[in-house]
Amino acid sequence: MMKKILNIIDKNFMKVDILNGVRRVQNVFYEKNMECFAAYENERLVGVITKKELIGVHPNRIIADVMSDKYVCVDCCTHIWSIKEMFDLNKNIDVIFVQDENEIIGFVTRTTLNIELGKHIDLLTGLYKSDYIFYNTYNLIRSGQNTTVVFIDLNNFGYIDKKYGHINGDIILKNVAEVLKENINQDSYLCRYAGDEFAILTPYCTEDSRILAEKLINAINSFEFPNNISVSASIGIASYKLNNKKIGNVWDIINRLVNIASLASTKAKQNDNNSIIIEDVDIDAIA
Amino acid sequence: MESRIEGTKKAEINMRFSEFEMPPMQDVLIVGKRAPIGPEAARRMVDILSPEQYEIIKIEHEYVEAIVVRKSLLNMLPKHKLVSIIMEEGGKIANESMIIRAQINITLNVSKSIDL
Repeated sequence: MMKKILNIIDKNFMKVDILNGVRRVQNVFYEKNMECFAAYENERLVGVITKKELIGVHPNRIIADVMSDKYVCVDCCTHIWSIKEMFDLNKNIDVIFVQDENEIIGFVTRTTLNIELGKHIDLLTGLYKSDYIFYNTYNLIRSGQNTTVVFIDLNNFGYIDKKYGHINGDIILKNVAEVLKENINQDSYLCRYAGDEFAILTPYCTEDSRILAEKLINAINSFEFPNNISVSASIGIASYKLNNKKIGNVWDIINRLVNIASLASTKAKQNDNNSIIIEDVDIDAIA
Repeated sequence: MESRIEGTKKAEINMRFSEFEMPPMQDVLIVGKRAPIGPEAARRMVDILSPEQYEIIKIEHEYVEAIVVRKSLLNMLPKHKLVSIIMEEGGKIANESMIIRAQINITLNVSKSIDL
């Protein structure tokens, strides 16, 4: 479901000894267009050399004098979102080496990761796509916190598109994205799930999530959309908390959680009296 | 008429013998950022001849990358004071491609009085 670092690694790197001369490495860099070198001392990884270290350095030097310690190593099964967190937390790190059974098999740079993450950003709203929510749901469940999915579905959006045109429809989606962004806290995660559906992941209990949902509905209702188009939303909420049980298949739990929230938003849409439906079901009990 | 100039070729040989310095660097090396030998290479070089006698101190300076200091000097003076003194003078003459060798003599004068 979620992409692992193994799928995006660059294998075009070379292992060098710290006593090797820089001239040799510079030659490989220029001739073979290789931009990453792993520096080893007695079979132990001790540094990294990238374009930044090679340009302008005297070719007579040894690798030990030009290598950088700005790298980390991760397992090849690490999710790309974890890699993003690592880069975000360690601003000075340029390269992440990827290892499989203690053997370096490739590397990832900020640029490689940003290209990959660009595929998970919705171009219209600038929000992340669903993969982002899946990763953070996974983390919340694993950490034993409340894991609540608030699924937001715009009402009659197909009709709005047909009546006012897709350009206005797109503006509304962008406006709604902004409204949602402004009304959630830093501990929650927002994504454009699909078409006119958005999802928010929160670490709140169902009651606090209901309060959030009411706030979101009021914010959307009171926002002035172009041409005074009236926009409203229906929200479905589903929650999960690990109760000292052994975690089974987390991905299975995530799928059920999102699905229940999504179906609850559909129920809310069909319900004239209630635009928020909270599904209080035992996800562990659902086969 | 012959106009050939007669000449001879000579080679002059001068020899100068001196004792090989052990280690081949003195007390301090100031290493420029683009010097052909980096501080780690210098340390490893002397480490082979005189193991564990020198230490690299990285420097925040426009031209100087690091200084390699004989450890015995650090027994006599705190590191930050020694570095500050070396850089105060050495920093003025260094450029980024130079390696400067410095000799530093430290004399401690101690005077004590006791009650008789």
